[in-house]
Amino acid sequence: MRLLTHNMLSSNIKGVTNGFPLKIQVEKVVEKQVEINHDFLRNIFPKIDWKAFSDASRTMGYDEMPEEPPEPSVLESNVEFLGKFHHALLELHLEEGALLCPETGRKFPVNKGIPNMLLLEDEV
Amino acid sequence: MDENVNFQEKAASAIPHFSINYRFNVNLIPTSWSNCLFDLSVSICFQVFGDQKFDVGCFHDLNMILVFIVMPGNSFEMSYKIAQIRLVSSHPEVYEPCDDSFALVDALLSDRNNLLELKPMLCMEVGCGSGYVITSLMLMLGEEANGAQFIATDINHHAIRVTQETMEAHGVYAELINTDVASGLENRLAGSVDLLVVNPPYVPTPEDEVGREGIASAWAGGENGRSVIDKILPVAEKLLSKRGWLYMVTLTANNPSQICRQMMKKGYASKIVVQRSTVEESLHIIKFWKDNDIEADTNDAITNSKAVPLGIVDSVRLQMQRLSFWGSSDINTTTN
Repeated sequence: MRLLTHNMLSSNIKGVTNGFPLKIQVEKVVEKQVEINHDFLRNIFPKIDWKAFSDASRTMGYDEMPEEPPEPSVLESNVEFLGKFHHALLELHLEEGALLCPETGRKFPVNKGIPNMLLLEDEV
Repeated sequence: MDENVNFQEKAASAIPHFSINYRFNVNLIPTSWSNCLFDLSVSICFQVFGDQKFDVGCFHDLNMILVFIVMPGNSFEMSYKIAQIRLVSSHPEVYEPCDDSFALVDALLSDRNNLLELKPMLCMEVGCGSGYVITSLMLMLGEEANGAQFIATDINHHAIRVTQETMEAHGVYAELINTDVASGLENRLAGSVDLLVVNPPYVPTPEDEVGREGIASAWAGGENGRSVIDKILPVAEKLLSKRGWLYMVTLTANNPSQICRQMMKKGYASKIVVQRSTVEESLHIIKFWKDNDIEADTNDAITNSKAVPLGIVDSVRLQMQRLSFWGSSDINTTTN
């Protein structure tokens, strides 16, 4: 599971009002390189919840993302920043661990990089 | 056996570069034969000597279809790539690629230029099964996808695992989530998915068969096969971006015209992009897109045009690609 996905996941448990972001419990992080695409980064940026993203990247062991979201102009021209953004968003994988509902603490396991968001009958 | 020798001779004379190093037996029994679809029963067994690559092509001769192998240098240039059946992983509890999967991929292929023009940023498949469709989608967009990211979900964890293996075998990557439709993603991904593809469980079954664990969840669709489809459609509406497109597989039994009318009321235009018919049933691959000019008037005719059917040779070529050629075991695709 990459941080792009983590930024799009929220707790789906019935009755939970504040299910985002899920807290990350790290057991194993893997880095997998993938080709950078500046257009994609610029297009996805507005959809990213920056605080959740920068916190999550720190949890995954990568400290390069600033706490405050960058100005759009930084994305336009700062290639070095784009590289780091790309790395945090798309190259860090949570292979083993869990995602925790911020309200209930319920664990959604992550195994082989795949989060299991299936709910039990009483949670639906 | 004689028939097979005949084929080899035909192939040898028809294809100048056919090499005697490639021995093969071909049995082809075409069954139903129509402009839109023909089902083949193919049994291919051959042994390949050496590491040489080759392409398989075919042409038809009256009622027989000749499969031939072309040496490199004379290979057909495939202008598109899709998943190869031989690289698709499997598991007893996971739905294997079948006519409906192929029809959905064909629909996407036929729309490939439009898809590239759309420049989707986030693409998603609900119910990825073996991974055949999402892998094919990633391959067919390829480098021209301009950094698009792909997400796939499945309620069956075996399917997720199989999809992961299939993607790895093809050298592509999509984010996988084990979940029911898009549960957990709906809120944050709302209005963000530019391309959504779904091959839902559409088979009419008793209601209590719906949502059961295991492979039945791949086809059990309850009354009129609509249980899961009707659950997916509102989620699709929530996920799709303003310019987003949805491709969905349906059966005649699902009442596709009614689905289209329903979607029209929500502001979606629709078109049947591929239709495949057998004696018993018809598959309709429907494409939905947001259209502000759509009148919410159920008396209006739905935008509904049959796609130009693939030519026979192209269709067979696609079918042939899907067969696994490696190994010495007979491969059988059974048909009606």
